[in-house]
Amino acid sequence: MLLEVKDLRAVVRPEEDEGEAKEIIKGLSLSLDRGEVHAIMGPNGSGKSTLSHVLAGKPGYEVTDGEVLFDGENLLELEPEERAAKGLFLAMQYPVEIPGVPYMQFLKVALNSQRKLRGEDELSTPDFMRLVREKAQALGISMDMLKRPVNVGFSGGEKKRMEVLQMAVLEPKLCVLDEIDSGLDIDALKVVAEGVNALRGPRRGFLVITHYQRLLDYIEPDHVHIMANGRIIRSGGPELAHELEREGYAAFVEDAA
Amino acid sequence: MTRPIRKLPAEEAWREAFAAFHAAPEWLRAAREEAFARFEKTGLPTPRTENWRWSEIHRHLNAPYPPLAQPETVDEAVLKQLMEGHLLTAADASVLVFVNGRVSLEHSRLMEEDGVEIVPLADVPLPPEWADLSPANDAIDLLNLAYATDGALVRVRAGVEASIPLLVLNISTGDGHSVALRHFVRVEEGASFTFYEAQLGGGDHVANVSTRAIVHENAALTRVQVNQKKDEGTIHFGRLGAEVHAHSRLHDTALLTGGRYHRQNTYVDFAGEHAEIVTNSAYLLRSRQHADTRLRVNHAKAHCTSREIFKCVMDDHARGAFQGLIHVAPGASGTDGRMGAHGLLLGEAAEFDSKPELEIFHDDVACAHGSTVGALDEEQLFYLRARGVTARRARAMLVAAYVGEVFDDIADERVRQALTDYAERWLAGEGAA
Repeated sequence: MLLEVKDLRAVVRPEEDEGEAKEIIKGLSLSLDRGEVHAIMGPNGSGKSTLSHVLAGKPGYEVTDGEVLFDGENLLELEPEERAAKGLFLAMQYPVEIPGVPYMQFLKVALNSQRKLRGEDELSTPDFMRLVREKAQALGISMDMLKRPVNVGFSGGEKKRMEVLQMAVLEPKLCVLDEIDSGLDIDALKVVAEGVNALRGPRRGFLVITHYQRLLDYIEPDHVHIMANGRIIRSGGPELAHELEREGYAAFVEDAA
Repeated sequence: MTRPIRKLPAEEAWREAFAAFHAAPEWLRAAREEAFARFEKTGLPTPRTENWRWSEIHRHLNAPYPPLAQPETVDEAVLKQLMEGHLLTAADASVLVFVNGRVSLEHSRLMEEDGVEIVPLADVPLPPEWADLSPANDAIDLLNLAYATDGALVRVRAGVEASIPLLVLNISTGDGHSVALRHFVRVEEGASFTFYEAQLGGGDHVANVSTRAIVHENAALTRVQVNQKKDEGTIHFGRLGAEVHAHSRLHDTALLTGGRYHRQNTYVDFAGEHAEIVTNSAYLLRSRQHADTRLRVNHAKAHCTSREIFKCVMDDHARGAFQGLIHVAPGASGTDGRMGAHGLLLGEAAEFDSKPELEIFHDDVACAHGSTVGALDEEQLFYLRARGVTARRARAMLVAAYVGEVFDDIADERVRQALTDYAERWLAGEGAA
């Protein structure tokens, strides 16, 4: 199993002792294997994004119970960079702007840092350039864009396309896509989805987090989970997404309550 | 009621030493005496002096630092290490080396270029009519002239676009004394020149280095300064006094990362219309280091442009300060001045004080100033780490990115790269060269 989440509970750590820790993930279990695409759908505030943050190791959250195994290893003990090096990639809902760091340099440092953490040799500059040029071309990303600072002044669509480029270059085992469709028009969505689909394969898993069924027309999942109030309340095949689209979240959430 | 402030030990030493002080060139004697007489009247700034409010001069000058009578020699191996280990080695330049206040021609490497004259001040037998060594109305600069033992006098003749820059190494070492150097650069009409200055060495002493520059019409001067003093021992007073004439350009960049204390006084006067200046600085400070800049840009003439960016990074207990003033004189139409001072605090005990000011006596101008202070962005840090970059490397990358724009416009790519690379290495613990 590539990813196993067992009875996971997590809280948002309050800032500077203000108020009590708020529990967001309330006993969530999920199994995802290589070659599979799972979709998690849920209303706003159901804990979808928190789940992705906890998996990636974002500071500010605390796991209070349960476990997460990634390729059989305890994921929760690892630093965010170690998780990345082991093959976990979180495509962020809001990719962060980093003024002063050119995209190309960022990609190179990221790739070589991961290789170093895995005990592999760093990629030489010419080999790296060849790799990026090839992957960027496939996604219609110009080399000019790669000279610009990370995400600074990029449109929503460009930012997401660049997240896909990162996946293509870093070749993770598991891609967690956190609302990769948010802020995209239909054309941009198609480009991003095509990029993601090109990365699908028997050795890689995807966890696609989305609010809308529309994304799943383009990235077709094998399994669909509905999340509400910090738990998965129902799982099924692709048809579940259509059912949800017809009936709305309310019906499912009430059923579960 | 104001009480007289006790004179600092350093000030007492400087007052007492002058009667017995002698240094070449002889023709400078009268000007020195006049400067010293003016200093005797004014004395050093006090904590109440507005332009020195964050400088903590009293804490740092609390020991006597009498002028060094004879240049102390420095071990050859140490000297070699200093000369080869600094950030401006990347510059392809003539090199003029000053060791403890006196030029060392055997360590210098001057390449001849037509129309460019470079001479050590102490070796000039007669006052050159083209050099202006007059002091600013400032206690530190008066002391500088009074006690200067040498300096570089540079003249770039009209129309000469010099292809060989000059790299001046101001090396000073040892404890318990002070050293003063006075440089002068004159870029004549239509000429251009690049002047690099490195503050090197270390030890508990005072280095007072003053550079005066005159950039004539249609001329250009580029200056890059680094302070890479070791040991967090040295107190450095740096000055750039520049006069920029019509249609000319001054581009000044500084990286202050060495020594115990650096006070930079940068005073720029526009002396003609349609001139442009850029003065950018980066501070990379840790431990208890202190860097402090007083900048005054005097838009005395119309249609001039000035750009000032200060990016200051302070770790541990380090302290950074900036006091900048854009002054727009009556009649200076079309003035375009922008000043920004920004602090990044890495240590909880670090401090940044900033006061960018505008003083505008004319209507038709476009001026802006801004100041920010903050910590490293947690979202940026996580984004980098989520892509596999270690926490340590991510922080270093963000520091380099923060100060990067200060170096962006340096024309010599190798120099720019050397400064940028240093900024990234700095956080990993690398101190001075």
